[in-house]
This record gives sequence, structure tokens and C-alpha cells, in this order.
Amino acid sequence: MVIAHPKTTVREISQHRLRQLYLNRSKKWADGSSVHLTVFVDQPATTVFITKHLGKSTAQFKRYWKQQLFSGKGIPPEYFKTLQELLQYIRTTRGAIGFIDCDAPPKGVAVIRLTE
Amino acid sequence: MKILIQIGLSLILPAMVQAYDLGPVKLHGFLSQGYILSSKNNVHTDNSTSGGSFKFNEIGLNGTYQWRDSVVVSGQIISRDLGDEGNNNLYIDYLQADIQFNDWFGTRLGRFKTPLGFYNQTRDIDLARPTVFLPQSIYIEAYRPLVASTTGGLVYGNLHNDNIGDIDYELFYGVPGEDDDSCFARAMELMLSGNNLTMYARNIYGGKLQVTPPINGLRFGLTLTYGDTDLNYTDKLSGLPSRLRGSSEPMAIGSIEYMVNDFTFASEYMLNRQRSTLKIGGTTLHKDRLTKAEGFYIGGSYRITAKLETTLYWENFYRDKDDKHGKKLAATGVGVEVQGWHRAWVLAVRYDITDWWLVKAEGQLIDGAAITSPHYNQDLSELKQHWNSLALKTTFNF
Repeated sequence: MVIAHPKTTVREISQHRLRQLYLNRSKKWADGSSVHLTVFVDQPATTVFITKHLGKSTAQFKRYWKQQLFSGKGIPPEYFKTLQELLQYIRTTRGAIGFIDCDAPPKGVAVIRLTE
Repeated sequence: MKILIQIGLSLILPAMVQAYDLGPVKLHGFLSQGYILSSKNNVHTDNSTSGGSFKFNEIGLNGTYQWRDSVVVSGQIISRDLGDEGNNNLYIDYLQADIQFNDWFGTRLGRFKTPLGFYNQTRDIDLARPTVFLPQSIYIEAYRPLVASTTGGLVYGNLHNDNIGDIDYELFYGVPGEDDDSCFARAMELMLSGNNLTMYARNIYGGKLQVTPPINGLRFGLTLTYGDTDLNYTDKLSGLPSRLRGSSEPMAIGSIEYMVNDFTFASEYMLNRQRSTLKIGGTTLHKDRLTKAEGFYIGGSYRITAKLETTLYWENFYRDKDDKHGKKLAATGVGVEVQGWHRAWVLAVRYDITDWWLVKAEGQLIDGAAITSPHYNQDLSELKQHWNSLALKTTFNF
């Protein structure tokens, strides 16, 4: 499930677009505001997303973002170890986006439908 | 001051496992310490053959500030030491304003990392790679002052096509770094038999194109870089003001990388066409002399466990591909034959103890002395063809 800040106006996002965001090829929403990436570590959905959609292992993904950071190309995602911390960040950070394993949408965040 | 910074960082870094927020500014950093040992020929330091050298470290502090939605200001200061290079002086690695207008057009203004091959922009960042050194066939340490960073402007962007994949480009123009105290400058002073050598890097410009086809883990790259540098010095014999002007026309690097499961395959090829004109006083000794430095490596890394990764690659480098045995170099009197080439098998191991602390070991079996510097091997007749090196390194980062 892809979630975002409650004032996000985007209601659906393609897998390609999500990939572009998480590989630092795209940094903005359609309205020009900045995207703030999050990663919920150690959840199955994260591992599946990184390996299947980004074509990297978790270690390669972390190293990729360290390369982006220390070469001045991008701001890495915020990593969270608990769902509560992740949700709190997304609720309070304009432009934040993340993905979680969840059957029911959490309160206080926008849910974005993931399309092909 | 330098020692205080090193001590301070070495105390606080192990306690910090994530970025430090200074208000709206996010801080990251790293601290690396290495050791180099070599047989027969000194490499990167002046006493790698005499019990090894610890003059091998990097300390960096990186800050990022997002101003509204349109501008990201970021900078990185580094203190590094490699032999007589750097000597832990502080310098600005990059300081730039990044303005991205849309996915296909953005710009970086200020001092930025020079796009060159796949790995030049992180060449000083030990945690960004599985090996201690980048392949010297492409990322020659001696050239680092000229290619690490550029002050000027860069445009970049991403274009996507469902059939071709992603095309990422970077085009830049500016002035490269120059360091009159670098080992490159000192080595050139020895080779030219000069004194008081100063570097004047007139410009550097070029572009990098990366294509990522719709095959997970695969990417190709092509970099073309042009640049002009003057070395001004006093000729020892005549006492006359002299100048060696060099131009890259261009330096071309082709790159390929493929990641599949826990394996990463990488290979790059470099051809650096350089023209040089040498004047001593008013006399031109040679004009527009062309040399073609050529380098190539091929190899791969394999992640054995979540924390353990091993790398094996083979590389080959010629100072001039039209002088593969170094005979023309020896005939000029400024070098010896064995400096004409460099071939090596390299085996490295990286172990990530935690997310913020890693250790590495790297061994090289080397044929040729092209990567050695006359600054560290002043009696060139003592250079040996077959030799080995060992490098160890540990890095903390936050």
C-alpha cells in the first residue's frame, strides 16, 4: 500500500513513477512540490519493492543512496524501524511518501493507488 | 586543528547511526583510515615498501539544505591524506545549488563532483564501493586533483522511453581543481627537471550519458571530457621560464554495469587522447605531441552474506597505447620502460560490521610500474616490473 501526506492530491501512481522517485530520477510531485521519500526497514513489502521494482538488493539500494548523497546528487530516504514513526513522519511532512504492508489504510494519511 | 577534527570525529562517529539534523540542515559524514604495504615499488606513499604506511585517510562532513521546493543547497568538506597528497588540509569537495525544474532538466551551480565514468563522483567515498581503491586503469590517483571536482555549471536530467529505458545525462563546463602541492605536480616537476611548478587548469568540459534499458540491473555509460591545463615552471638547466600545455581531446570512458541477485559485474574502457606542447624559454621543444593513454578493467563483486562481499577484477593500462613496452618513454629520458604499462589482478573483501562501520582488505598482483610516481620512487632505475600491494581500510559513517 502506497501512502502519502494527507494533503497530497495525487490519487494514483504508476510503478514506473514510483521507481523513478526511489531511484532519484524524479524529485517532485506534478505540482512542483518536493517529494520526501521514506523506507520502512525490515518489512517484506520493502524487500519486494526494492528487489522486484528497483532491481537491487537491499544492500545495493542503501549503497546506491549513499553514492547519491555523498556525490551531491540527492537526499536519501528517511529510514524508519517502526510503523508508528513512519506514519508520524508522513502525517507531518508535506510531500512525504512511503509504502507499507497493511490491509486497512492507516488514519491520517492519503492512500495512493498503485497502477501498472 | 586538523588533529582535533580527526579526534573529535573518531569519538562521536561510532555513536551516531543516522543523519544528524541541525535544524533544517541534514548532516552526514564519514571517517576512514587505511594502511598500504607494497613490495619493491612505493605506491601512493613514500614508504609503502618500508613497513607500510598509515598516511591514508579521509574525513568528510556533508550538509544538505532544501530551500523551498526548488533549490537544494549542499556541500561537502573533506580532509584527506594519501602519502604527501592532501596532508589532511580541509578543502571544499563540493558546494552547489541544485535547481531541478522538471525530470528532464535541472542544473547544479557552484563546485560539483565531475561526472567521469561510473565511479569518479564518489572516488573519495570509501563506503560507496566494495574495494579500497578504484581501478587505477581508469581512476588514476595522480589525476585526481584535476578530475575530482569542477567549479562551474552542470545541467542534468532524465528522459524515459518504454522501449529504450531511461536516459540520464549530465553536461558540464567549468574549471577543475588544481593543486601545486599535489603529487602529480611534484612528479611532473621531477620529470620536466623544473622548479617552482604551478598548475593553471584553464578549463574542463564534457558530458556523461547513461542508458538504463528495461532490463533490471543493467546500465551503460559514455563520458567524454575535454580540458586544458598549463604547467608553468622554471627549467633547472637553463633557468628559463617554461610551460607544458596539455589538452585532453577527449578523455572517453565507456562503462557497463550489471547487477543480478548478489552479483555485480562491471567493466570500463578509457582512451585519453592528449596533446602536449612544451616550451622552454622561447623555444618550442615539441608541439601538439599526441599520446593516447588507454585503460580497461573487467570484474565483479559477489555478496557472500548480508555483510560480506568479495571483488575480483583484472585491469590493464598503457601510458601511451602506441608505446606499450615503454621504449619511447625511456628514449625521452624522463622515464623507464617499465613505467609504460600497468596490469593487475585485484582481490578485495568488504565486511560491513554494522550499517555505519565497515572494514576492507585488498591485495594486488601487479605487472608494470605505470601507476607509481617519481615523487615516491626517485631512482627510476630501481623500479621493478613484478610487485604486489596490500591495502587495509576501515570506515565509519553517519
